[in-house]
Amino acid sequence: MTNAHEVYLKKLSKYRKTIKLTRGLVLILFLSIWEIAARLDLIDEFFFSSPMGIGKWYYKAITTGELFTHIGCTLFETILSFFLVMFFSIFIASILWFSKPLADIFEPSLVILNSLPKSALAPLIIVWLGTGTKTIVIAGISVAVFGSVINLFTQFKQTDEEREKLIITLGGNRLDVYKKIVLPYSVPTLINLMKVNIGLSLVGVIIGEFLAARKGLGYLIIYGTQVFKLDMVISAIILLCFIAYGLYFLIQILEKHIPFMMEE
Amino acid sequence: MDTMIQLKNISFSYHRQDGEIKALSDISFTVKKGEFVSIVGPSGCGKSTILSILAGLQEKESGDLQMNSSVKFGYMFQQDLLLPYLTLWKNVCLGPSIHHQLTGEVCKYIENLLNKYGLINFRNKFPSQLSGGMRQRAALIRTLALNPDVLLLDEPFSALDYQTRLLVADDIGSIIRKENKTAVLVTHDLSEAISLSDKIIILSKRPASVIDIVNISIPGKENGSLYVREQKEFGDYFQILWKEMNTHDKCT
Repeated sequence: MTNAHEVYLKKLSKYRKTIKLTRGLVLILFLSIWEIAARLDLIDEFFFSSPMGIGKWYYKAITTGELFTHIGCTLFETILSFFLVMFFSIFIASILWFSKPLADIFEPSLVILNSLPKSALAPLIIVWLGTGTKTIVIAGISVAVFGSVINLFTQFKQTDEEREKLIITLGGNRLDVYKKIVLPYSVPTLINLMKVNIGLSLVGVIIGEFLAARKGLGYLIIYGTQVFKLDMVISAIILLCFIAYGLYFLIQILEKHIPFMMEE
Repeated sequence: MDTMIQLKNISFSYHRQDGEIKALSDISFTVKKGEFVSIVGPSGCGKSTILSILAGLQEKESGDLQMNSSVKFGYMFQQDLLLPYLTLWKNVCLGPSIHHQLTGEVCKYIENLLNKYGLINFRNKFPSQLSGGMRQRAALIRTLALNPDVLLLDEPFSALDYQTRLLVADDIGSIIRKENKTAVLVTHDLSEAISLSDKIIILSKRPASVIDIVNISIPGKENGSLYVREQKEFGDYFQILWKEMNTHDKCT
């Protein structure tokens, strides 16, 4: 390694350390100002809560074990919706790819359902299915599934015609085209859809919990607002931030383990 | 030599909502066993359509197509169309694996081809790690893996740069002769057709009809297309064919 390169690397690592340190300081500063402002009554702690109040709520929720019930519930519902969304997307998009008439018949309906604000459906689902996990999971699915089907089907349709012809001239049928060409070429799209869908499933689950739950983070937020326990509301929102980030992170790890890249 | 394929007055049109495009009109010619036949003509005249009809990708509209029903076709495209997510080995085995015929015997046959044509050491590489010429050779071996009787070559060299193109054409041409395959090549490159073929079919502009069929007899053909290009007769044939293509176009 040349001297100049060593200097460059040192500079780079120093810059990165500074960035990390500054991030930490900004967080501490923010929390301190918030706490001080609450103590000096510059803001009303009843409405705005305070870092200490949030800390106390976490302590209590952890010791009673209540925290884990709520997190577990929301996580379970989100992950279940996510897997169902992915399953239905692949299943429906595949059927539409195999049958052109079905695709031509149902494409407009999918587009309409996708443009509908899905939260409008949630009250209807409650009327039909009552309250509980089933309703919440379906709310989670409904937010993500239509867009996901449309995106995946569009990707399926973009399959290179020449490669399709190649499989046919090698004696394959449409199923071979699907297995050898369509699916492998859709892997990058599938990964992107996973990233989008995990976020959307969480949105749908929270909407569902707002309306039809007795536990979960969405329930904590809506209940906390109604009884003015803002410590609870803000604690739940902070947890949601971490959950959303954690789930996205998991999919990023998965992406790194996909054995091939699509390059040409 | 036995006649392998016989086309009699084949016609074909493409149908779209905004109208009908007549692509082929009254195409007739024969391909004998072991023969290398080229079809030349202006771009977009319908040359590739003939190959599609032979391969059964498209149904002829009228005319008569005679061949033994047991004749197997292999198709080679303009692009190598190797799948980027499969190794060279899996790519060349694509045909047999679709037919669930990847037996020890077939594997050995393919291995032998890779060995003969200098790709065996690259069997675990991905297509992006191979040169253009190697990729085109791999595409040919993928086609040969199913042991076809007739190779249909749809401008297989036109995506390559000029120098590579001459070398790969020579390479592929000699592989086809060595494996004793019958071949039908579609190209718009007259010199390529002369250097490789036994017989050239000249087509007119769309709707394509046969202007003339010229037998090419240049001694020493077995030495490869680069050798043929150096012979005196090569130039003569070029003059004849070139004139024929152009006088016809002026008439119409």
